[in-house]
Amino acid sequence: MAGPYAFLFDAAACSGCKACQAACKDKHGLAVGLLWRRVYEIAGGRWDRDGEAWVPDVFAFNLSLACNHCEAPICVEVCPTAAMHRRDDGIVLVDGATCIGCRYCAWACPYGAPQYDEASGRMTKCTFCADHLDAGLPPACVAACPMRALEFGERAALEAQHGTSRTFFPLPDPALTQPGLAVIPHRDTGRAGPATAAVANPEEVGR
Amino acid sequence: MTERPLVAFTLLTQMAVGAFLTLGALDAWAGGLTGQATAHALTNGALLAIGPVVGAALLASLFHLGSPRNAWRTLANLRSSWLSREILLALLFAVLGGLFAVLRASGAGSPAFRARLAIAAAVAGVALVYAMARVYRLRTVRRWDTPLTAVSFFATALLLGSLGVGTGFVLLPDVPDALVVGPLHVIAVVAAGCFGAEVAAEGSGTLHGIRRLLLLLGIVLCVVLLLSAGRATALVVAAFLVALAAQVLGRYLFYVTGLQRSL
Repeated sequence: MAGPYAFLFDAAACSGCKACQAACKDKHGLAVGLLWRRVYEIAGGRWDRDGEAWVPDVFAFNLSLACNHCEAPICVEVCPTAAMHRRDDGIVLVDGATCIGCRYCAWACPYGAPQYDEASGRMTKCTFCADHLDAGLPPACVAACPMRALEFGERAALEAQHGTSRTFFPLPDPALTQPGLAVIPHRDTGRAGPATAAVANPEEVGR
Repeated sequence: MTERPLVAFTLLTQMAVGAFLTLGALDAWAGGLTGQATAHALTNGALLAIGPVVGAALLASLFHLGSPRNAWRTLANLRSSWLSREILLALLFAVLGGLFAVLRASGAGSPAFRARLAIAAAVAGVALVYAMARVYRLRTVRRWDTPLTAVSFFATALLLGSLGVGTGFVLLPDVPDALVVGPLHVIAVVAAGCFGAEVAAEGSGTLHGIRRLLLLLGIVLCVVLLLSAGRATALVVAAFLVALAAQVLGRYLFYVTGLQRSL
């Protein structure tokens, strides 16, 4: 494979075990507060009246997100030092030697991918496990998923198979940055919206 | 909140640009009225005070950086980053404006050269405020990506700049009363307009409500100032302090609301 690469996330298959998140943190030795891959628990629901009874009608699903190594990466566009850059194979990386830690990329990214490391005073982010790819191995998060809910591949192939426009709450409009992310929706993703659902684990994912 | 240094940086820079423009207008007005010497005496002190304000602003911006020793690299992406352009224009405004202030205070350089320098600094200043607004017009941040961001930044520049200059004038003992009252009335009109523009864009919530009250109080003070015929020192200082409080709170809220994210 030569890239550009993309992730495929199957919301219908994800059990929310967070093995992907833990594998990422483990492989990259991430400090407390840094999660290059995060599993968001999206939940919502309501009470319906049924005669004298109140019946809960609730839903929940998971969303595993890392950096989507966008085709139009706004982090690269706005970075004042050009520390944030996109390699020829589409992988978006931050060069720690030139980063000034201004956090502008973190403001601009709608996925929360660039993350500030207090210890170094610089931004850090998902590398798509470029070292693994070079060695012919899958990224750590993909390899760790017991449900096979997370896959990776060449962007063109994944998009041909799964489409480019499918998205669901709380994902932003893909037209903004053209993310390398194909998603298979959960059966309840259609019910989730800003007024009907919320991220249920904000402390965990740093929101 | 980690954006506190940026509240200081954006407000101080905008105040400096607004003050420079106010002094330019005042200089032109007073020069026509009284001859160059009086006009220069009127504005030199305030002009020289802008330098430390810009210096403090740039210093404050460094406190936002995790790696300030790399700060010199910020000009590396002028091709696509409005943040790079903002810093370039801030430096340009500081250098041109500073050079002009020093030349005029010392009487060096020909008046024609100094005038060209002042115009160049003013253009850099206006471009700087525009670039600052563009920094926040990220297509991924809906609350910032509106024309109101630029309106608010320019209103802030004129509001704090004009009232800042007005405060300098009423507090300087050697400025004659006859020269103070006219400019103060113009400043009152400009500041009232800026207070009004800001109040129109206010959001909802307790802190926004407090800010709305401050802005309305500012309008009242400006109207009273416009109706007063004397030096009105207390009024001008009060209006400036109210403007400062309203804009510090407003800029804080700007960051808090803009950076609320779903992911």
